[in-house]
Amino acid sequence: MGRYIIRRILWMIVVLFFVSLLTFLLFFLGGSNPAKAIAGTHATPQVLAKINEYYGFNKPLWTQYGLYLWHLVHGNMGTSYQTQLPVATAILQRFPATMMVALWGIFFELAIGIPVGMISALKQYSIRDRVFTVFSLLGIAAPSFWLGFIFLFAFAFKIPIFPLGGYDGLLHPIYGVLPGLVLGLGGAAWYSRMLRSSMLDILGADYVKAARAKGLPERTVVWRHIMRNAWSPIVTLLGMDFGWFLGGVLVIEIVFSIPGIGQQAWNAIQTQDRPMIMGTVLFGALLVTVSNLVVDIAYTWLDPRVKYR
Amino acid sequence: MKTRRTLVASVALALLLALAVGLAACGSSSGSSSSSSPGTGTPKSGGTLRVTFQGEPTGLDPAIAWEVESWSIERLTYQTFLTYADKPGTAGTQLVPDLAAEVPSAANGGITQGGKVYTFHLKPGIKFAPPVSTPVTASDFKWSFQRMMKAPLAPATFFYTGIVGAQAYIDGKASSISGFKVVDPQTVQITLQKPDTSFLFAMTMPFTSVMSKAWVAKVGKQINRKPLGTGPYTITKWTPGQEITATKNPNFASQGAQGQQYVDNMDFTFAANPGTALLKLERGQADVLGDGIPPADYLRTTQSSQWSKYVVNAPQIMWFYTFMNVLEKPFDNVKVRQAINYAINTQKIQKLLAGQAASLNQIYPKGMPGHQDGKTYYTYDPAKAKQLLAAAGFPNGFTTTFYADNVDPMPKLAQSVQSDLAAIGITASLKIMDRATYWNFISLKKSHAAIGFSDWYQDFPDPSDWIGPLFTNPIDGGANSSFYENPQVTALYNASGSQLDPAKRLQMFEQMQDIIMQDAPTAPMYQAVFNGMHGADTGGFYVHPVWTFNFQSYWKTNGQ
Repeated sequence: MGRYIIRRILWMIVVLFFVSLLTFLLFFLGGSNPAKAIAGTHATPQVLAKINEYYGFNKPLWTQYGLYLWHLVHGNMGTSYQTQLPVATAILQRFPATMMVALWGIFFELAIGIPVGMISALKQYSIRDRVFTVFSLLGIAAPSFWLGFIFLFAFAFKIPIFPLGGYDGLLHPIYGVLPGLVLGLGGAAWYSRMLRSSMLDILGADYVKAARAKGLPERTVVWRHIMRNAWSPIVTLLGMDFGWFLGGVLVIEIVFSIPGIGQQAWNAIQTQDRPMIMGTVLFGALLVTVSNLVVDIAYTWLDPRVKYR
Repeated sequence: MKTRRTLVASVALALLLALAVGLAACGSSSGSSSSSSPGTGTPKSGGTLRVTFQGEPTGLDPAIAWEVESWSIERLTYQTFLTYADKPGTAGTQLVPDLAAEVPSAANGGITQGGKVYTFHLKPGIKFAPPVSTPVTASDFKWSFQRMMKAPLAPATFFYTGIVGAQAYIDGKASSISGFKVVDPQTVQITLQKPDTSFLFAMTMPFTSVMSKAWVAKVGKQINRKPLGTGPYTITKWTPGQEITATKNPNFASQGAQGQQYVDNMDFTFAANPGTALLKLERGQADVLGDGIPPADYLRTTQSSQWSKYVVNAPQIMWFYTFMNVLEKPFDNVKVRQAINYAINTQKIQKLLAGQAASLNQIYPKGMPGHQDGKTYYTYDPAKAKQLLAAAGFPNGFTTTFYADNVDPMPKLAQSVQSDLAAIGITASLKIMDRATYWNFISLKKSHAAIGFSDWYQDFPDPSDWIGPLFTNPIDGGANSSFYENPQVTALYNASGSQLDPAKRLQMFEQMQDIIMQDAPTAPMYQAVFNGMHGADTGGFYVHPVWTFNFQSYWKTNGQ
């Protein structure tokens, strides 16, 4: 197991390296001029030349990338061209807002998705199953910016239960409820469909029939024999979602005025703020790879048949 | 089975839609009641002004920052020798003293040697804000100015390289700017290499703000987050990504005239979605929409009897135009360029931009001196355009590529122009590019961008800011995307620098416009209108023609 984890971590470094290389190259393929993005469209060629010199934009591509990597392995992610803040500081400043929404999102995904999936599977083709099916499909189909505005309008403007967007620190989690709900509803729909189908597969299995035939109470059958085996796909989804959510969900952050990582990355892309773009992409990639690793390790605990060498 | 499921689904969908529409419909009847109308009423002290912005200032270092969000907040703290009158419309483009005792003129002896030497007298008793609280002297101005000129990221040094010794100082060949003299503690004298009557406008820009050397030394690199100047408010808190709080500067009172201090505090919220910000304003949780009314909500807001009275529309001193590269065939032919001017239906474009655009058939927008109300050089006339094309040797039109960036409304306007061009036989394929790439692309000769969109926002309300960058000196990487040059225009432009009689100077700029419109390197399309909005409890709100906002001049009618 220990060797497995070390091998996975080494692979993570390889993945991150290629992610950084690709992002860097894409930045240059666009044919943009970062000096112009820094100084604005009114700046004269002399001013642009001075900025090119200052940031080394006139150096060859590979020298620039090499310098970036050199700084990166020394723990320096660079300084934002726009705000002059260290990239790591900027990301960590924005991370709590994103994390709050992500946690609420995961909470709602599970709190809605799992019961709905279970009921749908255990009472297949009942009225409840059909109603849930319809709402699941709606949840998957509804664009989150639309749903976000509807929720804001209904539960913050007309009936002011929740704040009208914004973020006020981790001590005020109420700001994360509506964005988390919108985020979670879309996910819950997937979770419930996934759980329903994986439970339906298992329901017909011989060992379930055997458990029922033994006269085990239904509760034990469901929790010990069915759910234990139905968790795997849910955990996989959860791991991917968590990494993705923590990378910042732009649409949700924009609709709900959340000053998170997503909005920061969006601004960086619009202003060609290369260190900021690189930093955010690497941070996001790191989160996704780490959460995947955690999920894979969690399998061994969920399903003793899974072993890694 | 299948049909029943579909039925359930459609019923549920219909219910949800009905809920959404119903909620939207009752939206217009909610919110708190009003008690003031814009720009009138008696100013009241106290309270907190709450402003929403989607973008956050990148920093508040006056040497570097150059966007609406940064400037409107930075100007609460930093001041310059000169500024603009605290009024809406054209009156707001009038130069007035800020920290200077008066606006230099030939009459008061402030402008000498035919527009080459400018003398500024500092108002007495000016102090920096606490905790510095030291008196401001002419040396502080020189120190701040030289700091800006040497800052590696300063974007606007080119406005000031006409000062004697400025370039040598930037290049490290001189230890100070010889043309920026401290005559005595209250007097600064600036000498230019050649007369330039537009120089006074450059002295209004926040780049020339006075800073405290002691404070800059104390906070070091943090200066772009911890500003301190002489203005009416001080920045007391900045939570990155979230908000900036400003409170009254107790040392400001002694300054008198320019700028007021009505509210006790100001609260700027960032990352605010403009649509959500409007809901906050209607709920009484925000006072000023920093980004204006979102286009999607414009009609709803202006048609609501409750909210339309808080909408303040103001034309921005900018123009949106089509550039034609005179180096590229067939746009090297003046008849082709004139034909394009006749072919573009600008009225259709204004309809597409309902409420956000005002018509413009000349290069100077309304609010800019030199603008002549009702002046039209070309009207929409496809038949005439076809004639001109035929006369130019293109009776059957030609094929070209039309360039635009991908930020709304450019793509949809490009489609409109594309169809106008098709009507006179020109087949234009659209090339829509990412914004950051686009502006670099059209500035380079090697891109061979023959025709496309551009816009230009004022640096200051003087026509020299249009002619200089856009119609003279066609260098690679500059703003003259038409690569247009006419010796007559250049000569007039150079001569205008030493014309001290404002009326005669203006005539020269009108003459330049006549020549340019005849040569037609550009086709004016429209002037943007800022759709400002304030809350029911906000008094004195107006949109300033140069700064957009003068937050220190607004007050809360409820004093809260």
